[in-house]
Amino acid sequence: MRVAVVTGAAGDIGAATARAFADAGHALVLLDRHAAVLPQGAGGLALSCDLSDPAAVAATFAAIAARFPRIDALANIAGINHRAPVCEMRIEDWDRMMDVNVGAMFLTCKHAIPLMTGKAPAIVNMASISGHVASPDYPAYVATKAAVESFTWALSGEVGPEIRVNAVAPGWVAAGFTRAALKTGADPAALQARAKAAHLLGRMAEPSEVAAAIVWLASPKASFVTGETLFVDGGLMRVH
Amino acid sequence: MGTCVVTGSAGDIGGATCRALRAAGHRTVGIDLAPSPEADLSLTLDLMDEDALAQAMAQAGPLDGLACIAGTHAMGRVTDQPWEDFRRVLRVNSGGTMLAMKHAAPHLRNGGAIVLMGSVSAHIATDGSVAYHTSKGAVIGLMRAASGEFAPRGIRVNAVSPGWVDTGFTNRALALLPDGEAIRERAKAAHILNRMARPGEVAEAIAFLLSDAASFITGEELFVDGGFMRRK
Repeated sequence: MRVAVVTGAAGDIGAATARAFADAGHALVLLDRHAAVLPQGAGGLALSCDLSDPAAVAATFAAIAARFPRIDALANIAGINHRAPVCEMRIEDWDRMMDVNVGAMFLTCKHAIPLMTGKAPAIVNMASISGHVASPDYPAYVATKAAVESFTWALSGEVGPEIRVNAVAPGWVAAGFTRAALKTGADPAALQARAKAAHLLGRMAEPSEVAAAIVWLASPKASFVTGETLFVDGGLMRVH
Repeated sequence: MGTCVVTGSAGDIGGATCRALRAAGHRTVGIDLAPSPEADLSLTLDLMDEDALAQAMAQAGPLDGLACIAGTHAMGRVTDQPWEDFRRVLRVNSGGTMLAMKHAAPHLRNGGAIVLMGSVSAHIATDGSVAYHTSKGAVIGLMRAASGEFAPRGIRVNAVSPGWVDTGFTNRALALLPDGEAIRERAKAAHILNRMARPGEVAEAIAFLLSDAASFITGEELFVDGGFMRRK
């Protein structure tokens, strides 16, 4: 049985990805600062971990190595956002964004790669269309997501041909704050209208649609795909 | 699972795509100048023959998907390529793709999908293949434009862009060159995965983009290039 490690597994995309990996027959290791829950019927571990803490990540992967003989797939989904224009941003907030969105990915890769000794191992990182567009007031998010892609390309060269490394770049996803705003926000209809205009497909993604792309990239079916960013954006990048 | 049309189905990638789609439960209709042994229904015709193409798409029936794989190649540089060769490559690779979409469109179900055959050649240049590079750039532009045109019907349009693929098409191109075998070895090393793709690996990406697992992917060029674009 293939073993998949999913970070940010307490969030909507992480949970959907865990479900999709389980449906594809994987044992799961779910990592999150908050409590993640194993999908019904899935085997594995759910561990709490501050993924931006190097010692905590090292200890967590030691625990994974004690339980599983290897890791086959690593999906780095954990991420945060912070709204502040450059001239108002505190360096502490900038550092926190880099530590979580980029640093945590680096740390999990560093500790997972020595355990990725099986057949056709793969890493998938969470990029975003935000790495390619101007998002006023979110310079740190844009910078971290561009960094995720650059790191993905660099790592694909470092660990290939044995390990494939790719990224997915979603557009808007009905997850996290967006899902909450759709349920209880002041004007969900206006939000849906903006999503309709922003994407060729006229809507935002469901978390399961991002998860399906992640699981495909991690699977042996994507055996000649590495160093790639797969946009799961409903055509957002084609709208202008 | 419904029917998918595959153009260029007599070739290695086209044949592998028919196999991958059949394994996923689709009925496949192959369109090619030559017979398509891997397709459930093989229709032999020239994509430039619009009447025959329209008739073939109607015969294929209601469609879930279309994979436009047919392509050709001719060596030549800007300064020495005969106009007829340049035009033939563009007509088959981009014109044939446009016509296949045009005539499949009335039969594609809303919510269906189309995959075009791009190439890393749309992004990098090798001396002596000016027509092929130009045509693949055109295919990527065509994919982006068509993704907007078909979006109101929920039809997704994407492209796969391979690096080197170990096919008869590649072998014939290398055979034209005096140092073909040396180029083959350099080509393998040009990929992070240190080899050419197998046709089935490109086919799996096409099948993924045609599937519901790719339901939020449109207007996208998926590189199936073993890291070719990342290796310098």
